[in-house]
Amino acid sequence: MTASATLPPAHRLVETSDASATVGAWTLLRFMLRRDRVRLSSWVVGIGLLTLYFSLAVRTVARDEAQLAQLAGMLSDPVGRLMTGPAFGMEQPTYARFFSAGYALFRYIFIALMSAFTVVRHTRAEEQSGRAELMRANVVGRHATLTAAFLLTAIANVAIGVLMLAATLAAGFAPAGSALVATAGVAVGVFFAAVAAVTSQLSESSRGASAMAGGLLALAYLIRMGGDMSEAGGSTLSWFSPLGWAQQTAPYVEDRWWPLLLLLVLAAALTGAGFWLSTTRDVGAGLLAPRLGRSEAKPALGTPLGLAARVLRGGLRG
Amino acid sequence: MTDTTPVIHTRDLVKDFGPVRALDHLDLEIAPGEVHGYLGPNGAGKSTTIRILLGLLRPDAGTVSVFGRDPWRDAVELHRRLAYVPGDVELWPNLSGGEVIDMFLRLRGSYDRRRRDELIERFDLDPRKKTRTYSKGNRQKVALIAALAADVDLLLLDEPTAGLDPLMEVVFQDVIREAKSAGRAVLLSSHILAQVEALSDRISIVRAGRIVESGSLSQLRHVTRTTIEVHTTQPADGLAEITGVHDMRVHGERIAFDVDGEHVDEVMRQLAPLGVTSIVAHPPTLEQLLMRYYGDSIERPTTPAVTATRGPSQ
Repeated sequence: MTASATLPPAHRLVETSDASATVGAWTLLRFMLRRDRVRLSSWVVGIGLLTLYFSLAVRTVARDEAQLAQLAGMLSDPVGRLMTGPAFGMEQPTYARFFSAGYALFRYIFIALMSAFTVVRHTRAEEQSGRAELMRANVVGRHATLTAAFLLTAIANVAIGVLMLAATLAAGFAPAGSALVATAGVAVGVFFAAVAAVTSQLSESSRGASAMAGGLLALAYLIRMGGDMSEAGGSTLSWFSPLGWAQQTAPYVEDRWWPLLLLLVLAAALTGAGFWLSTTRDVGAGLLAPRLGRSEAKPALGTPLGLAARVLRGGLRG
Repeated sequence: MTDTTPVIHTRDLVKDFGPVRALDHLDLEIAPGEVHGYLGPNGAGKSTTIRILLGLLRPDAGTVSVFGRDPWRDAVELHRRLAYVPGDVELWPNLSGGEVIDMFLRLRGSYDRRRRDELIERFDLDPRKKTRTYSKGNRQKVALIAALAADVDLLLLDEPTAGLDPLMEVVFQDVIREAKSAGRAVLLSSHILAQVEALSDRISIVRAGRIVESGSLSQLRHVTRTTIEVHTTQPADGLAEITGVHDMRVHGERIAFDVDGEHVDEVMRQLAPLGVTSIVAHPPTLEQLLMRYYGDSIERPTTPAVTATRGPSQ
């Protein structure tokens, strides 16, 4: 008997932080790009075209200044703010300001969903299917998959940012504000990728991980609703929402960059948490342990209605 | 690697999944260059053991080492020296089999392209087809080819031929023998007893997370019974009274019985004067070995009475 490593249960937090943890990430990234070449490029081009459409459509919706002022009033009244955001600069509306106040939020939501889904699809969904096990049995570091998934999402976000910038510049909007809108989109995407990096550690199923990330997005929207409705330009409550931070940049009006720092700092913290949490669990397992099911079916399960109710129970609760 | 370092060494290995204990103080040792058969029923802990050896699961207690190192902490370094084939291979449906094999091999660094092509040929796999169109057996071939084309010292195979047809089973056995002669150690978890019998140097039988028996095939046979079928000209009724003789079946002149290894000699002496016209003695099959260890757990569901009542009820 020679050197053998002892692993008492108390060892849970001991971890390798050396470079070997990300071995294989580059190959995995290329592989993910190959797998996602249709799906992810559809998202990217779709969101890019949506931006182009919105930024050009504002000129069709409002043909002159009078019409624009009238529509701006719609965005800046409380119900308008409830729907779309703090309505910066609507007292002196321009096409660019109207575009930013009325349409930027929806792109942020699309970007957030794309980012969260992409991370979950390449991490938790892979573990759930058992493919991660096969992958990890190769020379692949503990953190390689999450690293590659995160890079993939970042690449997609930057691509969307570039398309958004091109679209807004093509519409003749001010470069500074256009750069800010595009960057805010990237920051929102990176933030929700980081959220998914954490939720993917928690749930054993990809649906659970996506639902948790989506739930946080919904919560961010609700908080922003309350905050923006109560005051033009947003209230204190707006600052408790990641979507609120992206909107508080006030593109084409105040051009504030610093709220994006909040998104990026928190994204970095969440990403770090995701990496750390992934080292405290088994591959394939979630930190929220599933309970055992019943060993015997209740009588109701013998009926079609009972079966339907049981199968759909999780979804109905959520 | 020195010859004295075991390739795999576990002692008192424990792994719990919530309330379920998957491994219960499991001891396993595999020497360099050894093909080790790992037998047990479903849920005995075979896959859990292999996942711990891969560093995918962390044990709750006990010690484990692969090539003298900790598989959880040194996973990346160890994976350069081992390859893994699961029993249930899931692949990415929109990639071709060849693409998957190449990706796995690229993740290992350099690889021998000739060896890859040769294995694809021998396993008769069409690498251009998308894995979506593959059967279970074909998906398994992808994992086998990727593992066998890698230049490693240890193969961890978890029921690797569960989906292969008998022809491919032959190819598989050939390839494993080649790996053995190249000095590779193999942990072969399997249900197919003939396969383990044909390939293994040593065998461990696992049950409910514990090794219940470990040794070479001949060592395990020593503790089991030999089945003897014999035709005698004179009645051989007296045989049933000899210690070590079990399960005597008499069909006219032909009798059959099982005898414990250490009593074979005495039985032969008793038989000799009875005028033996023919005799067949065969060693226990692995089925019999397993039946002996799992007898109480498999007997119940196969009892006719139970199956008969179960049939019409649901």
